[in-house]
Amino acid sequence: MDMDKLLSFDWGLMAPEFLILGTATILAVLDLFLPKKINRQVLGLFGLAGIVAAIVSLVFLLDNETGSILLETFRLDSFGKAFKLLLLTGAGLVMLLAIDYKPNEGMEEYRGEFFYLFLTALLGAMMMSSSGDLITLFIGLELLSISSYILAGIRKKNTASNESAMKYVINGGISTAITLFGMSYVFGMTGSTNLRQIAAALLNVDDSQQVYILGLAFLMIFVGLSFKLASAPFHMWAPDVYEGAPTPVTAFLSVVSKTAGFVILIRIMFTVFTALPVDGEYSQTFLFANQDYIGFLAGATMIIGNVIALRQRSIKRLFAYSSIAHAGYILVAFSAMSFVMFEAIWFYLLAYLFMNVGAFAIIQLLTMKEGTEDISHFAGLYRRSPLLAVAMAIFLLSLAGIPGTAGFIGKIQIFIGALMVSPAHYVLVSIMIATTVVSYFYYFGIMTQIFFRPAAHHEKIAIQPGTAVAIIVSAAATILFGIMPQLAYGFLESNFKAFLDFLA
Amino acid sequence: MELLNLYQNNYLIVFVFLCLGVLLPVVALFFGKLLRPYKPLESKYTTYESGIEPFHDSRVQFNVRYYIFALMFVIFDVETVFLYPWAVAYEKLGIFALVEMLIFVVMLLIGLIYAWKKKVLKWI
Amino acid sequence: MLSGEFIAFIALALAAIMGGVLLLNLTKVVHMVVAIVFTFVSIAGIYVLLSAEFLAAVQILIYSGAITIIMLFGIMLTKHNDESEAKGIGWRKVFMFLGVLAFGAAVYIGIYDLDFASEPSELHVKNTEQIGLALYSDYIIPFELTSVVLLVALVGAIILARKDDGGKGEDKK
Repeated sequence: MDMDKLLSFDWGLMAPEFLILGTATILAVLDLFLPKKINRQVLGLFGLAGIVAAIVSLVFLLDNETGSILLETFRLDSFGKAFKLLLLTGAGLVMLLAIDYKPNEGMEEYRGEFFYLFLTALLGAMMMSSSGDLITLFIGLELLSISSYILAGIRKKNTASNESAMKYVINGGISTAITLFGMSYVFGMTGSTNLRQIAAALLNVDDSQQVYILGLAFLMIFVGLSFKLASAPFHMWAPDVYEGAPTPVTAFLSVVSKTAGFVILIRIMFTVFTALPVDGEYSQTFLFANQDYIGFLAGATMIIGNVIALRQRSIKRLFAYSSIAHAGYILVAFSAMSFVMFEAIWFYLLAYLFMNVGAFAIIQLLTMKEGTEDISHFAGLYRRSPLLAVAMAIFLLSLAGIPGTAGFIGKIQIFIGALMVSPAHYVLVSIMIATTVVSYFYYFGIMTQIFFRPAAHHEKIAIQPGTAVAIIVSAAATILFGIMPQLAYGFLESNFKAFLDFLA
Repeated sequence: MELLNLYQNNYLIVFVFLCLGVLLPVVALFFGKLLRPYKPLESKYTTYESGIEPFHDSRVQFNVRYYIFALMFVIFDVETVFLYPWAVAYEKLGIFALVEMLIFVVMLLIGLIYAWKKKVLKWI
Repeated sequence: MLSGEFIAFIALALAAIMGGVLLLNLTKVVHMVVAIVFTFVSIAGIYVLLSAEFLAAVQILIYSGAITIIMLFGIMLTKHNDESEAKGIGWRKVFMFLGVLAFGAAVYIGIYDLDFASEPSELHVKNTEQIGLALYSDYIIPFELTSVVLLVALVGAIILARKDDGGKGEDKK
């Protein structure tokens, strides 16, 4: 190893990461040395510019062959590119919300930190999406987690925020420990942290004792990572954290962090555990033999999320349970493991990104104005601001999965995926349909508030430019992908070639 | 190569020292208890405050300022841990290792400047 | 086979587990910290048995040193004379105990007659240098990412633990 060999790697592949890291570092230094009187929103705009630049550089990389640096500790394949695009778009929209977020309750001094912690969290998520090595995956996960813990507790004088940060840290620590324990077994069995070498080593495992231990490892990794997804059995933190964290952070956790969770889950599960044969037979791999367990957790997640959401009065708690339910839907696609799984999950996360960020943008507007988060503040929104009401209606319809919106297409894809495999997952699909119907109650409950309840007062709502852009982009994308999903699928088809290079 | 058991046997000395380290205070305290006179008195249990009547617990709540020092100590401790194998392997690594470590240290330097600018390094 | 290594392992493992159990059962917070130091030190001993010399030193340096200090500081900052109340044995505890027992049994079934073809390793020869060579030539990306993690942790620690001046008005009263 020398300098020449180091420089021979194609470091250009990491351009998006370098851009985000550079932006975060410059922001950190600027925030320290800019005079106090300069409005820190400038820093947010700078961060946004960094994210946009990263998206552009990623688009330039789309045509690149699959490449890797340094024993695949960094690996840019079509899977990584596709999901990194989601992460960056989500983070960009969240950044728009963050710029307009009015700091309060002890956060005033930390405006600058607020912005660059988003960027470091994003950097962690991006590293998670493009790495073929357990060590890098884990450090990416930690970077994302630690940044989010701080973001959740950044309103220092708000007890709810403190509580949310505390719960997030403790739950996160436990789940990380469990994941790491599972990973350590995988490493111990195979003697490598490189995912492909692990897969190669596992191909030769025929001792049932070893398969048993790998089964334990599988369980622990899955349970630990379910924390990031906010799915059962690690969903309990979500409502409290979502409620206490500042609204842009809540949006970030529900969109970017969740996407990153699915990325790392798919990455580890599909490279490591599809290689492992069951009982020495090569006809069936370990992951497929254990579909039912994942299916069970998916079902439990959907039921818990949707049923408890019915009883919520706080809009952010309601959206927390709704996001748990959505994690359950995506897990259905994961447990079905059809050959359209990648597409289905990607599209669902895309749709979810836009509808959820859009909804949170409107929630932020209203809660910042009213000071509380009770659902009743949506009453009469239609009278006060018809445009906002219509936008919120679009997002809610999409979250509920009504035809004409992106959420509908995403759900249909998951249905088809779960039914096309044999044996088809009828039970999961029926749970999904039933819980979707349940979800109509609370989504339409908000809609009734907006359209049919009289408003308490008729004060107009002033929309800041950043939030307006976020709402418009999200609403447009939700409708566009609802009517013309072929745009997204065509994009997937032409650029990512069915993710064939995922295992190669 | 060194033999594995030879290597492990070297740790016997560490073990002996560990035992001595544990035994020394235990034995000293035990003999102290044996030898000293035992005459408990109410006033012996009160806190010594230079002759003034003590009025509350001797232990007080620390300032939160100390805690930040402890936290920063941990973080720079971890940094030192990374420096150690770097220094040992430096001869075999070449100039790029210097660049790597420079980047690493600069990142933490930003952290240090941050702490300095936020005035948490100031001792009241 | 009763070898010295085996005896050492059993002793260390027992000390580690005992530390953990004591941590859960002691009522005074300072005693809990002492208990967890036992666990940390025993784990360092187990690392030595596994020829991971450097890791053992790091374990002592960071866990028994720094982490323990931070916990003691945490105790000093709060009500350090506090004792956890001994609660009765509720159903919750029983279920938790059963869960732990089931997990322990599941792992035990997995490992008790697990046999690996053991290869002679040279981990103990220049252990630190081996780690250095691997870390600074192959794992550069995670290493640099670690610096970002540490930076974020430092900034976060300061944000959350710093006593704010109160900004407007509050300290002017």
